[in-house]
Amino acid sequence: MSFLTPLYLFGIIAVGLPILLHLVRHQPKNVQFFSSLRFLEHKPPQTNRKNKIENWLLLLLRAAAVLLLVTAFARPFFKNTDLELTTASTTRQTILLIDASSSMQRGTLWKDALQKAEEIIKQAGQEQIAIYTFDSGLTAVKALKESKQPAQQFSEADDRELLTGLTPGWNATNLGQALTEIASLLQQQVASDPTGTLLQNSTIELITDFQAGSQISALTEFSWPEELKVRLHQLKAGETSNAGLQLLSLDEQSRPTVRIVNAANSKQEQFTIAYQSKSGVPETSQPVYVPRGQSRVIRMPALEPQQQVTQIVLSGDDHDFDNRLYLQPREKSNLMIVHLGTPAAGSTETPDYFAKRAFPATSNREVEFLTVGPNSPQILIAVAKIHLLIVSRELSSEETELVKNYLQQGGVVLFSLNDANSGQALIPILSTEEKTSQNILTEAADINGYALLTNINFDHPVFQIFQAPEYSDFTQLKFWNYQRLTLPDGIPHQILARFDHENPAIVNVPIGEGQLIVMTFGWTPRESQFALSTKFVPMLNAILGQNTKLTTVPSQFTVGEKIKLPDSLKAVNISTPESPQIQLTSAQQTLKETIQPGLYQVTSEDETIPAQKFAVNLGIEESNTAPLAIEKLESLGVRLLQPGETTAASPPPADTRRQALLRELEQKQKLWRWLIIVALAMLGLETVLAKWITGKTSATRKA
Amino acid sequence: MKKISAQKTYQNQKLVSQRIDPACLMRIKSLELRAKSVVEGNWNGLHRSPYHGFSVEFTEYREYTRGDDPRHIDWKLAARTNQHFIKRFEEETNLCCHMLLDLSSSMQFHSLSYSKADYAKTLAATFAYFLSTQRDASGLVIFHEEVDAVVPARFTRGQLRRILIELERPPQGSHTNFVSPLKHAIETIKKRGLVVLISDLLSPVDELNTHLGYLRAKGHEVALFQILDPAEIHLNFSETAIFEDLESGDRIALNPKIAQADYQRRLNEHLETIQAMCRKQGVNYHKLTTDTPLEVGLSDFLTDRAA
Repeated sequence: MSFLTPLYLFGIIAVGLPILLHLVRHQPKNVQFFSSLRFLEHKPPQTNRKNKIENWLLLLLRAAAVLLLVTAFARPFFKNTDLELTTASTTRQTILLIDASSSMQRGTLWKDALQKAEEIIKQAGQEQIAIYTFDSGLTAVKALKESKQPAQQFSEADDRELLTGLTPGWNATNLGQALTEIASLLQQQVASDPTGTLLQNSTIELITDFQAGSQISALTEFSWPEELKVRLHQLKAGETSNAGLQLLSLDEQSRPTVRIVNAANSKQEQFTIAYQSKSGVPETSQPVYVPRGQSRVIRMPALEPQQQVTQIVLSGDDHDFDNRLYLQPREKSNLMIVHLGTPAAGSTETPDYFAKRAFPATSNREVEFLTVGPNSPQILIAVAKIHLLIVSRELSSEETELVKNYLQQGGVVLFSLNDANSGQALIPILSTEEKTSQNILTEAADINGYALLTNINFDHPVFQIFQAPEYSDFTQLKFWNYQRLTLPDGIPHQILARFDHENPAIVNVPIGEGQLIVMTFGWTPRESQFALSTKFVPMLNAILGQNTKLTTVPSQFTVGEKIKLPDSLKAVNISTPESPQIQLTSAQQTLKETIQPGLYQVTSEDETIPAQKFAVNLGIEESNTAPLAIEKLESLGVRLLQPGETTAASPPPADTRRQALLRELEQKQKLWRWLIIVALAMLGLETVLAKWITGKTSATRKA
Repeated sequence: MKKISAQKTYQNQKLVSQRIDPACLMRIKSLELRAKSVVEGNWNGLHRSPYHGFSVEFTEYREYTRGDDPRHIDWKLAARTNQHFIKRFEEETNLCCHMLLDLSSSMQFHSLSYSKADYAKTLAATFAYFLSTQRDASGLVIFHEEVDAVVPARFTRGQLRRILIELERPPQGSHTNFVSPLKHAIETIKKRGLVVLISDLLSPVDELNTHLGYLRAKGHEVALFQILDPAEIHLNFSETAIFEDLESGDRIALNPKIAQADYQRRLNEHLETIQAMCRKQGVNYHKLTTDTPLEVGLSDFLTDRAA
């Protein structure tokens, strides 16, 4: 057994204390009054002549407790072979952290960066080297754990080869996150490092242009370790003038609003901004004056569809990596809505009158509304092109087939039961089996005055827009008559609303891939107030929105942003600006590969779904290329090394290392805890025993 | 003389069988009752009546000379010897007894249920009561380091009451000083009488000798009653303890078992000194332990009184 702090063993002298106390006779406590002490001799301790120790067991317990406490303080541990094995010395390690953000594309910056990195690798020699690049995130080129491997596996040449494979990307710079991640990785390593000097022996060599647009806010929430030092290698571009572009909005008239940001250290203040078409010819160019360190917002003239303009280009500065802004104007969608109803021009008596007016054309959509009467010629439209089918009359068997076919292909059908006959038309759509069909009942409901909508399922997409309390009031909406619909359990359906807590009012029946929404009432003023209410247009458009083909992706993104694709786009191909195509599996619903600016097109295997286009642009922070003040980094706690300064000049002496190992071994075994527990147990026993002995003596004294 | 010694023998015989246990006696709260129990319970009818034969007492024969009253000629003797002798009678006077009672702090010690002071007070009360029944004068001096209370010796109606009142007063003193009461006795007692000193006599007795000598020189009979607790004689304590002097307040830690032999030796030396002194001065010395029946004390007193 060995001791970590053997000096504490001098405390063994304290064992003498209980022995001494046992030897020393205490003055008797009881006082005996006596008439005269003349004939008594005064010999206080000696008169007893009882120097022999009483209560041997108590003495032993006390002495043992003291001994155990002393031993615990000396921190005992058992030496074992692990100790010798773990004495391997730790070497210094260098972490190369190279900025690979888009601003590094300027001039010779990237070349300089690689050169610097090679220099550092050369200087490092036998030291362990880890290589990381960072932009908006941290990327390991040669991770810390690998660098723990013996040095011969990775030679200098290998490291250099790794460097040549690197190129700057298009992402923004998040310096703060990169530093905190590296520091956290090192701290994790420290936890398993026996010497505890790993942080002192590590240097982060940061190679960056250190632009003002770097995000360092992540450091504010991170406590930077005292021992970890960073050496900053700031790269400087020869020409400093740089301005960047940011698209603020692209309105419905396709007029882009653009912000031009000029870096604080720019020399230029006069720039030109222009559209660029696919052919590469600049159009409608206009001069812009932006003072250095400031920004200007400009509203560009409207784009004309025939112009096929895809970019806005800025000219007049030294670096053009951020001078291009890709545009993706929203494309108008053409919607086809077919109404199987009774056409009645100008008559408010028929549902068609209201349905037609419920879908106005907007800047984003063109609506073609087609009413097919009972006597109209057969429609010759492919079901795939219909976005919504409204039924409000009896159907012929062919029409029923058409509807069923449409539903099977994923269409949305709105079925209005405005009379008993239309109810009969519904039955064959719902079920082909006779048994089930017999159970479907539609009959006119008895209404005392009027009926109201209740039990509305506001979670369903049809009612979602009415969820807010100011819109959720349906009590003003009165229904004079409706059809009572009874659906058997065999048909899966969801009741979205009821009349007076009883009969279903709006039912959603999924059929095939499509949805059949049945309204058991008519919307003309003869039957209800629905068509005249404020709920009519939003609800019908919400039903139209149920068509999955209509969901669109937003059209503007920045580099590195994740894009969530709509559920309907299954197994999609994405064409990117440079690489030919990306294939996404059906499970993937997010697109991470927006690694460069440009125009992207998402096409689904389903040809009926139109291709989705979106533009990806550079983050505006990257344009802010003025150098960042070093003090800002220091004020966030990062320890920067002055040029020429090195970390932990001398490696810790062997003794210190050994001491550290012993300490670790002792901490693992923690024998002192057991010793303290046993000592406490002995003291407890001693207390009990002493009490018992005292009780016994006092009892005899009383007796 | 013969009559008296016969009486004494009888008394002693009676005493052995009829002694009252002092522990029982001390439970009686009234001092007077205690005294009465001792005196009357055991002595009733054992002594001569105070109304017989105490008026005159024969002392000596003297040759008849002219002028003597012929009535006093002992004719029986003249018939036997043919010589004329005058029979002289001395007039019997009341005995004057002065009790000097030590009520210092050391007298407060007790190993029994009552202290030496209680015992001594009862003893003094017994004497006083007995004397009052005998129509003798009795006086009391209570002392500790100085004279505390004085009741001059008289034979009056309320004398016993006065003495008892003084005896029942709680003691106040601390140290023992024999000089002042003895000086007081020497200075104040003019008429010859019996001086009874009741004390534990545990303090130094250097000056006691001188003053006893003075008293004796003045013709007083002196009786010395030393009252000791049994524990003071044997030192039979079992526990080691701090022993505190009742008078001086000094403390010593002591194991009595070890100190016993040494103590007894020293105490015996002291007692022997006192006894030797008494023998030398003609003082009647009586050692009474507090467990001794009071009748023994009374009988000793009677012996001294008769002498």
